[in-house]
Amino acid sequence: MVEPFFNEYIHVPARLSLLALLAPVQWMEFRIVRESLDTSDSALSKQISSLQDAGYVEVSKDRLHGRRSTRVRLSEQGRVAFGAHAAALEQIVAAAHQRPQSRPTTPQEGAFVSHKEQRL
Amino acid sequence: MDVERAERALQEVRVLQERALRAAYPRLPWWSVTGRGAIIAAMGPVGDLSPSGMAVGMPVTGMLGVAAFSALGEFTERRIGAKVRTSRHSVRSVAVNVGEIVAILVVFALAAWGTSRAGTPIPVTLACLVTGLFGIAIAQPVQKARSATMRY
Repeated sequence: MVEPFFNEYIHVPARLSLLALLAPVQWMEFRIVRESLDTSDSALSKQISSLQDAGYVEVSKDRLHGRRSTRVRLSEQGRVAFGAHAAALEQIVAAAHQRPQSRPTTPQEGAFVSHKEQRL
Repeated sequence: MDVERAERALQEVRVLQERALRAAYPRLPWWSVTGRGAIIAAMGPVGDLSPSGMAVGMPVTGMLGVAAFSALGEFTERRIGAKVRTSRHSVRSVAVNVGEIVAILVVFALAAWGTSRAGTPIPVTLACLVTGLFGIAIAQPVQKARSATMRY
């Protein structure tokens, strides 16, 4: 069971999309990620580098039959962080459905923790 | 955190996870499908060797067959460009894989029995040919079934 943990760094749409796409696979080639997200090489490279620096994704490059192959995968840390973030989103939605008259969940209600706070 | 934003984000996550699984199980390349049928068919002639020839030929052909299937699987995976995590396989998707193998073995057994009864001089070769063609015929529907039974 994953502990819900809202992660502002992951919640940036481009990063969340990339992590969501990589979550069900062991690895995915860069070209498939780019096609699936319908984005450009440069924009995707930027997000991958950012997530790699944060330790959430791993990239391996090799040459196969004369073609360059770049595989992207979630690191263990990335998998845990993504799972916790998805659980936090589910918790927010579930809480709102349990209390339809109440206001939406606020950052002070537990699961919502900024990336900055998380790193401290 | 706005609830609507959280719902939208979750919906986006689900859509992308389905997209990832669909990308990992696309329509198989033609060479992968025909290659599989060709490997099965190519193993046939060894079965029609004389008993002394079979003693040597069968283990060698078996090993070569396994190596060829592994190499073909590896090439196909590289061409597709994605590999699904084992945890995403559901009981139904495992059943699809097992069912495919069982169906191929049943077709081979029936074809071998039929060709032997018909008195053909090369019953195993013909049986493997029939089985190879059957393997080709079911490859795409089985791939579709695999994709449909993944754990989303």
